[in-house]
Amino acid sequence: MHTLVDARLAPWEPDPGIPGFKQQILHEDVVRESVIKRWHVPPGWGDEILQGQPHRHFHRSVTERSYQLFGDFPHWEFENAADETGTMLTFRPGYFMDRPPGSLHGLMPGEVSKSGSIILYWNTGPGASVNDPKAAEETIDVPFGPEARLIRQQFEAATIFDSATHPWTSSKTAGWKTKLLAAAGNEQPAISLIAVPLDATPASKIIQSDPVDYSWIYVLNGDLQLAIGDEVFDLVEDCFLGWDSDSPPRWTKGLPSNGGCVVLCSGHAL
Amino acid sequence: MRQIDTSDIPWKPEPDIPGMLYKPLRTDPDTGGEVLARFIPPGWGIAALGEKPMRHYHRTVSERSLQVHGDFPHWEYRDAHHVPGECVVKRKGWFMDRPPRCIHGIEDGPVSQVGAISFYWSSGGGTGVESGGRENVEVKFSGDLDAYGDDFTQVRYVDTLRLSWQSHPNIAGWKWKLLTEPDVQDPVALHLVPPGWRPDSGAIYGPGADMARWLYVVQGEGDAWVRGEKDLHKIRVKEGTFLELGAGETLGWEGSMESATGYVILCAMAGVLPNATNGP
Repeated sequence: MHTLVDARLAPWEPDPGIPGFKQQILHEDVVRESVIKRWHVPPGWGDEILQGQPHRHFHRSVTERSYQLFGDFPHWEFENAADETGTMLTFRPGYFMDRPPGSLHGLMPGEVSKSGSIILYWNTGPGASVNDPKAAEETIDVPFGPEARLIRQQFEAATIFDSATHPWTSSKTAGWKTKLLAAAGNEQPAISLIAVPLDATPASKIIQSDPVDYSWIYVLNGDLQLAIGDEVFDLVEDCFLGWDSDSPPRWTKGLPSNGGCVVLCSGHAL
Repeated sequence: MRQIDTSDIPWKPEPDIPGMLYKPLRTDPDTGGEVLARFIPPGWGIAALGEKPMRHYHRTVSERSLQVHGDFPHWEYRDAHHVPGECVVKRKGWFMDRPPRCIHGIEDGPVSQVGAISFYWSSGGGTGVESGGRENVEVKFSGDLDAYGDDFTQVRYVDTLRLSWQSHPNIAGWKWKLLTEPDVQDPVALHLVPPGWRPDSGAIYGPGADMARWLYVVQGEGDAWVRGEKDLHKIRVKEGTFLELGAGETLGWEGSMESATGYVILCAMAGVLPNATNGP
Protein backbone atom coordinates (compact mmCIF):
# COMPACT_ATOMS: atom_id res chain seq x y z
CA MET A 1 0.00 0.00 0.00
CA HIS A 2 1.09 3.55 -0.63
CA THR A 3 -0.31 7.04 -0.14
CA LEU A 4 0.18 9.95 -2.52
CA VAL A 5 -1.03 13.44 -1.59
CA ASP A 6 -0.38 16.61 -3.55
CA ALA A 7 -0.93 18.91 -0.60
CA ARG A 8 -1.16 22.01 -2.79
CA LEU A 9 -4.43 20.63 -4.15
CA ALA A 10 -5.77 18.74 -1.14
CA PRO A 11 -8.70 20.31 0.76
CA TRP A 12 -8.30 21.67 4.26
CA GLU A 13 -10.66 20.75 7.09
CA PRO A 14 -11.02 22.04 10.64
CA ASP A 15 -8.85 20.06 13.05
CA PRO A 16 -11.23 18.71 15.71
CA GLY A 17 -8.27 18.37 18.07
CA ILE A 18 -7.24 22.05 18.17
CA PRO A 19 -9.74 24.91 17.90
CA GLY A 20 -8.86 27.24 15.03
CA PHE A 21 -6.37 24.89 13.34
CA LYS A 22 -7.00 23.43 9.88
CA GLN A 23 -5.48 20.14 8.78
CA GLN A 24 -4.74 17.95 5.80
CA ILE A 25 -4.33 14.32 6.84
CA LEU A 26 -1.50 12.71 4.88
CA HIS A 27 -1.48 9.32 6.61
CA GLU A 28 -3.12 7.66 9.60
CA ASP A 29 -2.00 4.47 11.29
CA VAL A 30 -5.23 3.00 12.63
CA VAL A 31 -3.43 0.54 14.92
CA ARG A 32 -1.08 2.99 16.62
CA GLU A 33 -3.52 5.89 16.11
CA SER A 34 -0.58 7.98 14.94
CA VAL A 35 -0.91 10.58 12.22
CA ILE A 36 1.08 12.52 9.64
CA LYS A 37 -0.62 15.79 8.72
CA ARG A 38 -0.18 19.35 7.59
CA TRP A 39 -1.47 21.98 9.96
CA HIS A 40 -2.51 25.49 9.15
CA VAL A 41 -2.34 27.94 12.05
CA PRO A 42 -4.15 31.17 11.13
CA PRO A 43 -2.61 34.61 11.74
CA GLY A 44 -3.34 35.86 15.26
CA TRP A 45 -4.16 32.38 16.54
CA GLY A 46 -3.87 31.73 20.26
CA ASP A 47 -6.88 32.96 22.17
CA GLU A 48 -8.89 29.96 21.00
CA ILE A 49 -6.81 27.99 23.51
CA LEU A 50 -5.61 30.62 25.96
CA GLN A 51 -8.70 32.72 26.58
CA GLY A 52 -6.40 35.24 28.21
CA GLN A 53 -4.56 32.66 30.35
CA PRO A 54 -1.25 30.89 29.76
CA HIS A 55 -1.39 27.17 28.98
CA ARG A 56 1.23 24.41 29.09
CA HIS A 57 1.27 20.66 29.11
CA PHE A 58 3.33 17.56 28.42
CA HIS A 59 2.54 14.22 26.82
CA ARG A 60 2.98 10.96 28.72
CA SER A 61 4.00 8.65 25.89
CA VAL A 62 3.64 10.37 22.52
CA THR A 63 6.61 11.69 20.56
CA GLU A 64 5.88 14.62 18.24
CA ARG A 65 7.97 15.80 15.34
CA SER A 66 7.41 18.71 12.99
CA TYR A 67 8.96 20.66 10.17
CA GLN A 68 7.83 24.24 9.57
CA LEU A 69 6.89 24.84 5.94
CA PHE A 70 5.60 28.41 5.98
CA GLY A 71 5.13 31.43 8.20
CA ASP A 72 5.84 32.16 11.83
CA PHE A 73 4.59 30.36 14.94
CA PRO A 74 5.54 31.50 18.45
CA HIS A 75 5.69 28.67 20.96
CA TRP A 76 7.04 28.37 24.50
CA GLU A 77 9.32 25.76 26.06
CA PHE A 78 9.54 25.29 29.84
CA GLU A 79 12.50 23.73 31.68
CA ASN A 80 10.36 22.69 34.63
CA ALA A 81 7.16 23.58 36.46
CA ALA A 82 8.85 26.42 38.34
CA ASP A 83 9.79 28.04 35.02
CA GLU A 84 6.83 30.39 34.83
CA THR A 85 7.89 32.49 31.85
CA GLY A 86 9.27 29.83 29.57
CA THR A 87 11.42 30.48 26.53
CA MET A 88 9.66 31.68 23.43
CA LEU A 89 10.77 30.26 20.11
CA THR A 90 9.26 31.52 16.88
CA PHE A 91 9.18 28.63 14.45
CA ARG A 92 9.99 29.72 10.91
CA PRO A 93 10.37 27.84 7.61
CA GLY A 94 12.99 25.14 8.02
CA TYR A 95 12.57 24.75 11.80
CA PHE A 96 12.57 21.13 12.89
CA MET A 97 11.17 19.91 16.22
CA ASP A 98 11.70 16.57 17.95
CA ARG A 99 9.60 16.51 21.11
CA PRO A 100 9.95 13.40 23.27
CA PRO A 101 7.35 12.38 25.87
CA GLY A 102 7.59 14.44 29.04
CA SER A 103 8.53 17.70 27.32
CA LEU A 104 6.80 20.74 28.84
CA HIS A 105 5.55 23.24 26.26
CA GLY A 106 2.74 25.70 25.77
CA LEU A 107 1.47 29.13 24.87
CA MET A 108 1.57 32.46 26.65
CA PRO A 109 -0.67 35.47 25.99
CA GLY A 110 0.89 38.14 23.84
CA GLU A 111 2.95 37.10 20.86
CA VAL A 112 0.95 35.52 18.03
CA SER A 113 1.60 34.40 14.49
CA LYS A 114 1.66 37.34 12.08
CA SER A 115 1.22 35.58 8.76
CA GLY A 116 -0.03 32.22 9.99
CA SER A 117 1.95 29.07 9.49
CA ILE A 118 1.89 25.70 7.78
CA ILE A 119 3.52 22.86 9.68
CA LEU A 120 4.26 19.30 8.64
CA TYR A 121 3.55 17.32 11.83
CA TRP A 122 3.76 13.66 12.76
CA ASN A 123 3.46 11.72 16.00
CA THR A 124 3.47 8.25 17.50
CA GLY A 125 -0.01 8.03 18.99
CA PRO A 126 -3.26 9.73 20.03
CA GLY A 127 -4.14 12.28 22.66
CA ALA A 128 -1.55 14.98 21.96
CA SER A 129 -4.07 17.61 20.88
CA VAL A 130 -6.11 19.41 23.52
CA ASN A 131 -9.52 18.30 22.24
CA ASP A 132 -8.47 14.80 21.18
CA PRO A 133 -10.77 12.15 22.74
CA LYS A 134 -7.73 10.59 24.41
CA ALA A 135 -6.19 13.87 25.57
CA ALA A 136 -7.23 13.27 29.18
CA GLU A 137 -5.09 10.11 29.31
CA GLU A 138 -2.15 11.37 27.30
CA THR A 139 -1.79 15.10 27.85
CA ILE A 140 -1.21 16.51 31.32
CA ASP A 141 -1.76 20.21 31.93
CA VAL A 142 0.77 21.80 34.24
CA PRO A 143 -0.53 24.81 36.17
CA PHE A 144 1.22 28.11 36.81
CA GLY A 145 1.52 29.84 40.19
CA PRO A 146 1.69 28.32 43.68
CA GLU A 147 0.48 24.89 42.53
CA ALA A 148 3.40 24.65 40.09
CA ARG A 149 5.97 25.00 42.90
CA LEU A 150 4.80 21.69 44.34
CA ILE A 151 5.56 19.82 41.12
CA ARG A 152 9.05 18.28 41.38
CA GLN A 153 8.85 16.27 38.15
CA GLN A 154 11.83 16.28 35.80
CA PHE A 155 10.93 17.17 32.23
CA GLU A 156 12.56 16.24 28.96
CA ALA A 157 13.82 18.94 26.61
CA ALA A 158 12.60 19.13 23.03
CA THR A 159 15.17 19.48 20.26
CA ILE A 160 14.26 22.46 18.11
CA PHE A 161 16.51 24.07 15.53
CA ASP A 162 16.59 25.88 12.22
CA SER A 163 17.66 23.18 9.77
CA ALA A 164 19.24 25.85 7.55
CA THR A 165 21.92 26.38 10.21
CA HIS A 166 23.03 22.74 10.07
CA PRO A 167 25.62 21.90 7.43
CA TRP A 168 24.99 19.52 4.57
CA THR A 169 27.15 16.41 4.55
CA SER A 170 28.02 14.13 1.67
CA SER A 171 25.54 11.38 0.99
CA LYS A 172 26.48 7.81 0.13
CA THR A 173 25.47 8.72 -3.43
CA ALA A 174 28.11 10.87 -5.10
CA GLY A 175 26.99 14.48 -5.46
CA TRP A 176 23.99 14.09 -3.19
CA LYS A 177 23.87 15.81 0.20
CA THR A 178 22.14 15.00 3.46
CA LYS A 179 21.31 16.47 6.87
CA LEU A 180 20.27 14.14 9.65
CA LEU A 181 17.59 16.00 11.60
CA ALA A 182 16.94 13.29 14.19
CA ALA A 183 18.11 9.75 14.70
CA ALA A 184 15.68 6.92 15.27
CA GLY A 185 14.26 6.88 18.78
CA ASN A 186 11.08 7.06 20.84
CA GLU A 187 9.25 4.91 18.26
CA GLN A 188 10.19 7.30 15.43
CA PRO A 189 12.48 6.34 12.54
CA ALA A 190 15.35 8.60 11.55
CA ILE A 191 14.44 11.75 9.65
CA SER A 192 16.74 13.47 7.16
CA LEU A 193 16.85 16.20 4.57
CA ILE A 194 18.31 15.05 1.28
CA ALA A 195 19.38 17.30 -1.58
CA VAL A 196 19.28 15.61 -4.98
CA PRO A 197 21.18 17.56 -7.63
CA LEU A 198 19.73 18.14 -11.07
CA ASP A 199 20.25 15.39 -13.60
CA ALA A 200 21.90 13.12 -11.00
CA THR A 201 21.79 9.35 -11.06
CA PRO A 202 20.88 7.26 -8.00
CA ALA A 203 23.26 4.74 -6.45
CA SER A 204 20.88 1.80 -6.33
CA LYS A 205 17.71 0.73 -8.10
CA ILE A 206 15.58 0.32 -4.99
CA ILE A 207 15.16 2.75 -2.13
CA GLN A 208 16.45 1.07 1.01
CA SER A 209 14.02 1.59 3.86
CA ASP A 210 14.90 1.25 7.51
CA PRO A 211 13.22 -1.69 9.27
CA VAL A 212 10.01 0.24 9.91
CA ASP A 213 6.39 -0.37 8.94
CA TYR A 214 5.87 2.89 7.13
CA SER A 215 8.26 5.26 5.36
CA TRP A 216 7.57 8.52 3.61
CA ILE A 217 8.98 11.38 1.61
CA TYR A 218 7.88 15.01 1.46
CA VAL A 219 9.15 17.30 -1.32
CA LEU A 220 10.23 20.67 0.08
CA ASN A 221 11.25 22.06 -3.29
CA GLY A 222 12.08 20.91 -6.80
CA ASP A 223 10.95 17.73 -8.52
CA LEU A 224 11.50 14.01 -8.03
CA GLN A 225 10.37 11.00 -10.04
CA LEU A 226 9.72 7.67 -8.31
CA ALA A 227 7.68 4.57 -9.10
CA ILE A 228 5.85 1.93 -7.08
CA GLY A 229 4.83 -1.09 -9.11
CA ASP A 230 3.61 0.20 -12.46
CA GLU A 231 2.75 3.64 -11.14
CA VAL A 232 5.14 6.51 -11.83
CA PHE A 233 4.96 9.54 -9.55
CA ASP A 234 6.14 12.96 -10.67
CA LEU A 235 6.49 14.61 -7.30
CA VAL A 236 6.82 18.37 -6.95
CA GLU A 237 6.90 20.77 -4.03
CA ASP A 238 4.42 19.81 -1.27
CA CYS A 239 3.87 16.27 -2.55
CA PHE A 240 3.81 13.51 0.07
CA LEU A 241 4.43 9.85 -0.78
CA GLY A 242 4.27 7.16 1.92
CA TRP A 243 4.61 3.41 1.62
CA ASP A 244 4.38 0.23 3.64
CA SER A 245 7.55 -1.80 4.03
CA ASP A 246 6.36 -4.37 1.50
CA SER A 247 5.94 -1.86 -1.35
CA PRO A 248 9.01 0.40 -1.46
CA PRO A 249 9.46 2.79 -4.36
CA ARG A 250 12.07 2.39 -7.05
CA TRP A 251 13.76 4.74 -9.44
CA THR A 252 12.41 4.99 -12.96
CA LYS A 253 14.46 4.66 -16.13
CA GLY A 254 14.68 8.45 -16.35
CA LEU A 255 16.73 10.78 -14.20
CA PRO A 256 15.39 11.23 -10.65
CA SER A 257 15.22 15.00 -10.83
CA ASN A 258 15.03 17.43 -13.70
CA GLY A 259 15.95 20.52 -11.70
CA GLY A 260 17.17 19.08 -8.40
CA CYS A 261 15.16 18.87 -5.20
CA VAL A 262 15.29 18.92 -1.42
CA VAL A 263 13.17 16.28 0.27
CA LEU A 264 12.34 15.25 3.81
CA CYS A 265 12.83 11.51 4.28
CA SER A 266 11.48 9.40 7.17
CA GLY A 267 12.44 5.77 7.49
CA HIS A 268 14.81 5.77 4.51
CA ALA A 269 17.61 7.79 2.96
CA LEU A 270 16.60 7.47 -0.71
CA MET B 1 22.37 48.32 -6.06
CA ARG B 2 19.55 47.74 -3.63
CA GLN B 3 19.28 44.35 -1.95
CA ILE B 4 16.22 43.65 0.21
CA ASP B 5 15.48 40.54 2.23
CA THR B 6 11.72 40.67 1.88
CA SER B 7 11.26 38.55 5.00
CA ASP B 8 12.71 41.46 7.01
CA ILE B 9 10.00 43.91 5.94
CA PRO B 10 6.76 44.08 7.94
CA TRP B 11 3.42 43.69 6.21
CA LYS B 12 1.28 46.81 6.04
CA PRO B 13 -2.28 47.42 4.86
CA GLU B 14 -2.59 47.81 1.10
CA PRO B 15 -4.28 51.19 0.61
CA ASP B 16 -6.32 50.33 -2.48
CA ILE B 17 -7.37 46.74 -1.72
CA PRO B 18 -9.40 46.29 1.49
CA GLY B 19 -8.12 43.56 3.79
CA MET B 20 -4.93 42.80 1.91
CA LEU B 21 -1.40 43.48 3.17
CA TYR B 22 1.70 44.25 1.18
CA LYS B 23 5.41 44.96 1.17
CA PRO B 24 6.24 47.63 -1.40
CA LEU B 25 9.56 46.94 -3.10
CA ARG B 26 9.76 49.37 -5.97
CA THR B 27 7.70 52.01 -7.78
CA ASP B 28 8.81 53.09 -11.21
CA PRO B 29 9.09 56.88 -11.18
CA ASP B 30 8.10 57.16 -14.83
CA THR B 31 5.27 54.67 -15.23
CA GLY B 32 4.01 54.19 -11.66
CA GLY B 33 4.52 50.44 -12.14
CA GLU B 34 4.90 48.62 -8.86
CA VAL B 35 6.85 45.64 -7.58
CA LEU B 36 5.54 44.25 -4.32
CA ALA B 37 4.81 41.19 -2.21
CA ARG B 38 1.11 40.81 -1.44
CA PHE B 39 -0.47 38.87 1.43
CA ILE B 40 -4.07 37.72 1.08
CA PRO B 41 -5.17 36.66 4.59
CA PRO B 42 -7.05 33.38 5.15
CA GLY B 43 -10.78 33.90 4.65
CA TRP B 44 -10.31 36.84 2.29
CA GLY B 45 -13.14 37.11 -0.22
CA ILE B 46 -16.26 39.04 -1.06
CA ALA B 47 -16.79 40.04 2.59
CA ALA B 48 -13.75 42.31 2.33
CA LEU B 49 -15.56 44.17 -0.47
CA GLY B 50 -18.75 44.76 1.53
CA GLU B 51 -20.34 41.53 0.21
CA LYS B 52 -20.63 43.13 -3.24
CA PRO B 53 -19.30 41.21 -6.24
CA MET B 54 -16.83 43.26 -8.22
CA ARG B 55 -15.14 42.91 -11.59
CA HIS B 56 -13.05 45.26 -13.66
CA TYR B 57 -10.33 45.49 -16.23
CA HIS B 58 -7.34 47.75 -16.61
CA ARG B 59 -7.16 50.03 -19.63
CA THR B 60 -3.42 50.01 -20.21
CA VAL B 61 -1.64 48.25 -17.36
CA SER B 62 -0.45 44.66 -17.47
CA GLU B 63 -0.08 42.69 -14.24
CA ARG B 64 2.11 39.70 -13.56
CA SER B 65 2.64 37.66 -10.43
CA LEU B 66 4.17 34.50 -9.07
CA GLN B 67 2.30 32.98 -6.14
CA VAL B 68 4.70 31.69 -3.51
CA HIS B 69 2.24 30.48 -0.87
CA GLY B 70 -1.31 29.33 -0.35
CA ASP B 71 -4.57 29.46 -2.27
CA PHE B 72 -6.43 32.44 -3.74
CA PRO B 73 -9.83 32.04 -5.45
CA HIS B 74 -10.32 34.62 -8.18
CA TRP B 75 -12.86 35.00 -10.99
CA GLU B 76 -12.04 35.33 -14.67
CA TYR B 77 -14.33 36.46 -17.52
CA ARG B 78 -14.09 35.90 -21.26
CA ASP B 79 -16.14 39.08 -21.83
CA ALA B 80 -18.80 41.19 -20.15
CA HIS B 81 -21.53 38.59 -20.86
CA HIS B 82 -19.62 35.85 -19.02
CA VAL B 83 -21.75 35.80 -15.82
CA PRO B 84 -21.09 34.23 -13.42
CA GLY B 85 -17.40 34.09 -14.16
CA GLU B 86 -15.06 31.13 -13.86
CA CYS B 87 -13.65 30.69 -10.37
CA VAL B 88 -9.94 29.87 -10.55
CA VAL B 89 -8.10 28.93 -7.36
CA LYS B 90 -4.58 30.24 -7.80
CA ARG B 91 -2.05 28.16 -5.91
CA LYS B 92 1.57 28.19 -4.86
CA GLY B 93 3.81 28.12 -7.92
CA TRP B 94 1.31 29.70 -10.30
CA PHE B 95 2.50 32.42 -12.62
CA MET B 96 -0.12 34.92 -13.81
CA ASP B 97 0.18 37.07 -16.91
CA ARG B 98 -2.72 39.51 -17.15
CA PRO B 99 -2.65 41.88 -20.13
CA PRO B 100 -4.65 45.12 -20.30
CA ARG B 101 -8.39 44.71 -21.03
CA CYS B 102 -8.69 41.42 -19.17
CA ILE B 103 -11.81 41.22 -16.95
CA HIS B 104 -11.33 39.74 -13.49
CA GLY B 105 -13.02 40.06 -10.14
CA ILE B 106 -14.47 38.61 -6.97
CA GLU B 107 -17.83 36.91 -6.60
CA ASP B 108 -19.69 35.19 -3.79
CA GLY B 109 -18.00 31.80 -3.45
CA PRO B 110 -14.87 30.13 -2.14
CA VAL B 111 -12.49 32.15 -0.02
CA SER B 112 -8.81 31.62 0.63
CA GLN B 113 -8.34 28.70 3.04
CA VAL B 114 -4.83 29.36 4.28
CA GLY B 115 -4.13 32.77 2.77
CA ALA B 116 -1.78 33.46 -0.10
CA ILE B 117 1.38 35.41 -0.88
CA SER B 118 2.20 36.64 -4.36
CA PHE B 119 5.22 38.40 -5.75
CA TYR B 120 3.57 40.95 -8.05
CA TRP B 121 4.66 43.51 -10.59
CA SER B 122 2.76 45.81 -12.95
CA SER B 123 3.50 48.09 -15.87
CA GLY B 124 1.69 51.03 -14.28
CA GLY B 125 -0.20 52.19 -11.22
CA GLY B 126 -3.85 52.59 -10.29
CA THR B 127 -4.93 48.94 -10.50
CA GLY B 128 -6.22 48.44 -6.94
CA VAL B 129 -9.96 47.97 -6.58
CA GLU B 130 -10.22 51.29 -4.71
CA SER B 131 -7.57 53.14 -6.67
CA GLY B 132 -9.97 55.51 -8.38
CA GLY B 133 -8.65 57.28 -11.44
CA ARG B 134 -9.08 56.23 -15.06
CA GLU B 135 -7.06 53.02 -15.20
CA ASN B 136 -9.71 50.70 -13.81
CA VAL B 137 -12.97 50.18 -15.66
CA GLU B 138 -15.71 48.54 -13.62
CA VAL B 139 -17.76 45.98 -15.54
CA LYS B 140 -21.24 45.51 -14.12
CA PHE B 141 -22.83 42.07 -13.93
CA SER B 142 -26.11 43.08 -15.58
CA GLY B 143 -27.61 45.83 -17.71
CA ASP B 144 -26.28 46.87 -21.09
CA LEU B 145 -23.30 44.52 -21.25
CA ASP B 146 -22.91 45.03 -25.01
CA ALA B 147 -21.79 48.55 -24.25
CA TYR B 148 -18.46 47.23 -22.91
CA GLY B 149 -17.54 45.88 -26.35
CA ASP B 150 -16.02 42.51 -27.09
CA ASP B 151 -12.31 43.14 -27.57
CA PHE B 152 -11.18 41.62 -24.30
CA THR B 153 -7.98 39.77 -23.61
CA GLN B 154 -7.49 36.57 -21.60
CA VAL B 155 -5.32 35.88 -18.59
CA ARG B 156 -2.56 33.26 -18.80
CA TYR B 157 -1.80 30.99 -15.86
CA VAL B 158 1.16 28.62 -15.67
CA ASP B 159 1.74 26.12 -12.89
CA THR B 160 5.49 26.62 -12.73
CA LEU B 161 6.00 23.62 -10.42
CA ARG B 162 4.69 21.31 -13.15
CA LEU B 163 6.72 22.93 -15.92
CA SER B 164 9.94 21.08 -16.84
CA TRP B 165 13.30 22.77 -16.67
CA GLN B 166 14.99 23.21 -20.04
CA SER B 167 18.63 23.76 -20.92
CA HIS B 168 19.36 27.45 -20.64
CA PRO B 169 19.57 29.20 -24.03
CA ASN B 170 22.34 31.59 -22.97
CA ILE B 171 24.27 30.23 -20.02
CA ALA B 172 25.93 26.81 -20.14
CA GLY B 173 25.07 24.73 -17.09
CA TRP B 174 21.99 26.70 -16.09
CA LYS B 175 18.39 25.68 -16.74
CA TRP B 176 15.31 27.77 -17.25
CA LYS B 177 11.54 27.75 -17.44
CA LEU B 178 10.06 30.28 -19.83
CA LEU B 179 6.78 31.41 -18.28
CA THR B 180 5.48 33.72 -20.99
CA GLU B 181 4.71 32.91 -24.61
CA PRO B 182 7.97 32.61 -26.59
CA ASP B 183 7.36 35.58 -28.85
CA VAL B 184 6.52 38.31 -26.32
CA GLN B 185 8.66 41.43 -26.08
CA ASP B 186 9.08 41.26 -22.33
CA PRO B 187 9.56 37.57 -21.44
CA VAL B 188 9.47 36.26 -17.89
CA ALA B 189 11.48 33.21 -16.87
CA LEU B 190 12.74 31.25 -13.90
CA HIS B 191 16.47 30.62 -14.05
CA LEU B 192 18.12 27.79 -12.13
CA VAL B 193 21.72 28.36 -10.99
CA PRO B 194 22.96 24.88 -10.01
CA PRO B 195 25.06 24.22 -6.91
CA GLY B 196 28.78 24.38 -7.59
CA TRP B 197 28.23 26.05 -10.96
CA ARG B 198 31.08 28.08 -12.39
CA PRO B 199 31.21 29.94 -15.69
CA ASP B 200 33.27 28.28 -18.42
CA SER B 201 35.19 31.49 -18.97
CA GLY B 202 35.88 31.99 -15.25
CA ALA B 203 33.59 34.99 -15.03
CA ILE B 204 30.45 36.15 -16.78
CA TYR B 205 28.49 39.37 -16.46
CA GLY B 206 25.25 40.77 -17.73
CA PRO B 207 25.22 43.42 -20.42
CA GLY B 208 24.36 46.34 -18.17
CA ALA B 209 21.92 49.05 -19.06
CA ASP B 210 21.26 52.72 -18.53
CA MET B 211 18.15 51.97 -16.48
CA ALA B 212 17.35 50.27 -13.16
CA ARG B 213 16.43 46.58 -13.32
CA TRP B 214 15.39 43.99 -10.74
CA LEU B 215 15.14 40.27 -10.01
CA TYR B 216 13.71 38.11 -7.24
CA VAL B 217 15.12 34.92 -5.71
CA VAL B 218 12.37 32.33 -5.49
CA GLN B 219 14.25 29.47 -3.88
CA GLY B 220 17.63 28.43 -2.49
CA GLU B 221 20.68 30.56 -1.78
CA GLY B 222 24.08 31.30 -3.22
CA ASP B 223 26.56 33.90 -4.40
CA ALA B 224 26.48 36.50 -7.14
CA TRP B 225 28.60 39.52 -8.00
CA VAL B 226 27.61 43.11 -8.74
CA ARG B 227 29.97 45.24 -10.79
CA GLY B 228 29.57 48.99 -10.79
CA GLU B 229 31.57 51.59 -12.63
CA LYS B 230 34.14 51.76 -9.83
CA ASP B 231 33.71 48.71 -7.67
CA LEU B 232 32.97 45.02 -7.65
CA HIS B 233 31.51 43.11 -4.75
CA LYS B 234 30.20 39.67 -3.95
CA ILE B 235 26.68 39.36 -2.57
CA ARG B 236 24.80 36.50 -0.96
CA VAL B 237 21.24 36.02 -2.16
CA LYS B 238 18.58 33.70 -0.79
CA GLU B 239 14.90 32.89 -1.08
CA GLY B 240 13.02 36.17 -0.76
CA THR B 241 15.88 38.41 -1.90
CA PHE B 242 14.78 41.34 -4.07
CA LEU B 243 17.71 42.81 -5.97
CA GLU B 244 17.58 46.06 -7.88
CA LEU B 245 20.51 47.00 -10.08
CA GLY B 246 21.15 50.66 -10.66
CA ALA B 247 21.96 52.16 -14.03
CA GLY B 248 25.40 51.05 -15.16
CA GLU B 249 25.58 48.11 -12.76
CA THR B 250 25.86 44.55 -13.99
CA LEU B 251 25.16 41.24 -12.32
CA GLY B 252 27.58 38.37 -12.74
CA TRP B 253 29.28 35.26 -11.46
CA GLU B 254 32.95 34.58 -10.84
CA GLY B 255 34.65 31.32 -9.93
CA SER B 256 32.79 28.48 -8.30
CA MET B 257 29.57 29.41 -6.55
CA GLU B 258 29.25 28.46 -2.90
CA SER B 259 25.82 26.92 -2.56
CA ALA B 260 24.60 23.55 -1.36
CA THR B 261 21.44 23.49 -3.41
CA GLY B 262 21.74 26.31 -5.94
CA TYR B 263 19.05 28.92 -6.40
CA VAL B 264 16.19 29.96 -8.65
CA ILE B 265 15.83 33.51 -9.95
CA LEU B 266 12.65 35.11 -11.26
CA CYS B 267 13.64 37.57 -13.95
CA ALA B 268 11.20 39.73 -15.88
CA MET B 269 13.52 42.26 -17.43
CA ALA B 270 16.00 42.23 -20.25
CA GLY B 271 19.54 43.29 -19.50
CA VAL B 272 19.85 41.62 -16.09
CA LEU B 273 21.39 38.23 -16.81
CA PRO B 274 24.39 37.41 -18.99
CA ASN B 275 23.91 36.22 -22.52
CA ALA B 276 26.16 33.88 -24.45
CA THR B 277 28.39 36.56 -25.88
CA ASN B 278 29.18 38.34 -22.65
CA GLY B 279 32.51 37.52 -21.10
CA PRO B 280 34.13 39.16 -18.10
